Amino acid sequence: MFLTAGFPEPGLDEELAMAVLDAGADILEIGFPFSDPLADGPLIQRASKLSLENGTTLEKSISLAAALRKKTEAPLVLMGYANPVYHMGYPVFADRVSDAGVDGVIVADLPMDESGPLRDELKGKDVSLIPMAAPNTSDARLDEIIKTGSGFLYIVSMTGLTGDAFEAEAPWRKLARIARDKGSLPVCVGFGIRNGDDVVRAAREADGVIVGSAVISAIFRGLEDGREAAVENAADLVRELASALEMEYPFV
Amino acid sequence: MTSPVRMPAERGFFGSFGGRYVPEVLIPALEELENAFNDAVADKVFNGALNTVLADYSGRPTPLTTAMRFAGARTSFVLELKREDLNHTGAHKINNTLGQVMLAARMGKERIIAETGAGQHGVATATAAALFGLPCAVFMGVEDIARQALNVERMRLLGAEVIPVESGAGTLKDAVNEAMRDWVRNVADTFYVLGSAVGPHPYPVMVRHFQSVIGIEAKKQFLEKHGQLPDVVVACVGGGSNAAGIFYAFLDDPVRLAGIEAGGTGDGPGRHGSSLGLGSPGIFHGSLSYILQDDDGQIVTAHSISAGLDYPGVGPEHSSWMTSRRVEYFRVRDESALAATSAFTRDEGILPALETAHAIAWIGESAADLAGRKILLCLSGRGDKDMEILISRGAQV
Repeated sequence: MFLTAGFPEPGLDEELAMAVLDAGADILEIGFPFSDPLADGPLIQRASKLSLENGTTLEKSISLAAALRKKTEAPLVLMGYANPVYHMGYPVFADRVSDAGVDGVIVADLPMDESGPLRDELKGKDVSLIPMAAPNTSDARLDEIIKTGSGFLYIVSMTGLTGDAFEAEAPWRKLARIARDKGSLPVCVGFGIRNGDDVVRAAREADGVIVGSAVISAIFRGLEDGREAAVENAADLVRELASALEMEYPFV
Repeated sequence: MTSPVRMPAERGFFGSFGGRYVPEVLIPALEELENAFNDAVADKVFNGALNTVLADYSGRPTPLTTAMRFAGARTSFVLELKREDLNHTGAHKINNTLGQVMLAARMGKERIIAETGAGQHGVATATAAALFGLPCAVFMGVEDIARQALNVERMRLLGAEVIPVESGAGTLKDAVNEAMRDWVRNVADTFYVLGSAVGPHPYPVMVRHFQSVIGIEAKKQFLEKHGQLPDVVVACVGGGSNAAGIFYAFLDDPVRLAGIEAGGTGDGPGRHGSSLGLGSPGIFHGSLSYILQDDDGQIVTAHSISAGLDYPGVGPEHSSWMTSRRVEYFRVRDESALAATSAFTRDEGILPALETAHAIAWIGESAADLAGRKILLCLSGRGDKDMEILISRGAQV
């Protein structure tokens, strides 16, 4: 489950995170905002913009992770774009996320070819740099991506942005199958997954399913009725997705 | 255009700047583009066709005009103007868009997209797309659409769809974001014509290559006219395409190269467009280069009176030229550019673009140091597009 740090406001982000974990989310992705989020659709763009307006920084996002670490054992993953990390400095960033108890990092615009320096810093701290693959990624490149990555493989479900329509029968399935056959990294699929149907269909080819824009959307809708409704909406969505999975796959 | 292309190192690094910092989904497209570009520039047929289009359609070679009066031209120093303003559509932008759209056609792409700030690159892309019969969509910030109604209508007249960008501040950087997002969604059949020497590899080298015709011609013309190379070559720098295009021919020569950035209204954050002079290295729009950013690595909005310099980043090759000290970079403020526009127009009978006026102003301000020198200026575009700003700012018109 993906949430943006500092969204909809500092403090409420932590409450939301605990609510979605309590509702059944296994892993929490904490988005640190960036002014120019290239891979994101309108919903996460809006959340990032609000978060920045609330004064959220990479530093504060890491602090949120540290605060959550005190309350939960669930894996915590930081997700965002390269420049705030580059600007903080890779060694400093690696120190901070490690101290905060973060398990993994996803950087949307740091493909394998450019991720070496950050990867090396994180490796020393036992934090995963989680790689991404797209439906148009070649087999040879997928091999390299898996070899250089750690944590899990994040497969982007379509050539699109976060929040675009999920395509259950799209080429990502073939990619996921190839990746799972290699067996060295668990495979999670994300982008566009918004309801129980999507989750069930995605889970057929993946070890995990990542939901972002749908929960951001639930929060936005809830906010119209206040903070509590926002938290409740997010938790409801997680419960709905978790029970859809449980119905389909009772024994895991 | 027969000079060899000096390629950056692997993955598009010029020294420590450049690279390919994009979501994974764009990597295959950039690899495909890089291969197609390398293939095209080695192909006599492609180069011949490009040369023909540049000559017959855009009017190349553009002339080298000797300045008559400005700031002591002819009396104190020699100033030669490389007249990119005389290109079809009125600026150097068309050199790049014709090259890229021809490459798109060669690759079998079915749709052209582009970003634009003030609309110059949008018009040049829409023009090239019209020439080659390809549908074209241009992303433009809502703020810019409001400020540049004339260019919006020009693009529409050329058959392009102008797509308003509301995200961010609704200016050029947001238009680039939205064009890249469109490319992510339509990566198989769409060609993204990027307008400056910025972005992920191979864009910086590709744009510089298509613009290098400026320097190749100017060098030959200057030698024919003066029997020697210029002492100084001057160009304005936003993303840096016209500057890269003219500097490139002189890199190995004993020639001083000066790039002029937008000094805006001052050196404080949000007041200028001087990524090289006042920024720091960072990752933005797909490459590692000097950018304008805050303490958290968020991109800071640029400001310049000239839309073409109003961008918080600069091409990675310029960053490498600055750190290796091959090129010197200076900044000139809005007021100086405005004053230079008026003076230059009166002195020379040529109305320069406000972008170019920054380079002109620097020559004026440096006149004492430049005494006795032979100067080559890239007159990157004409200023008709800026008339409304000139009038509203009370320039002497």
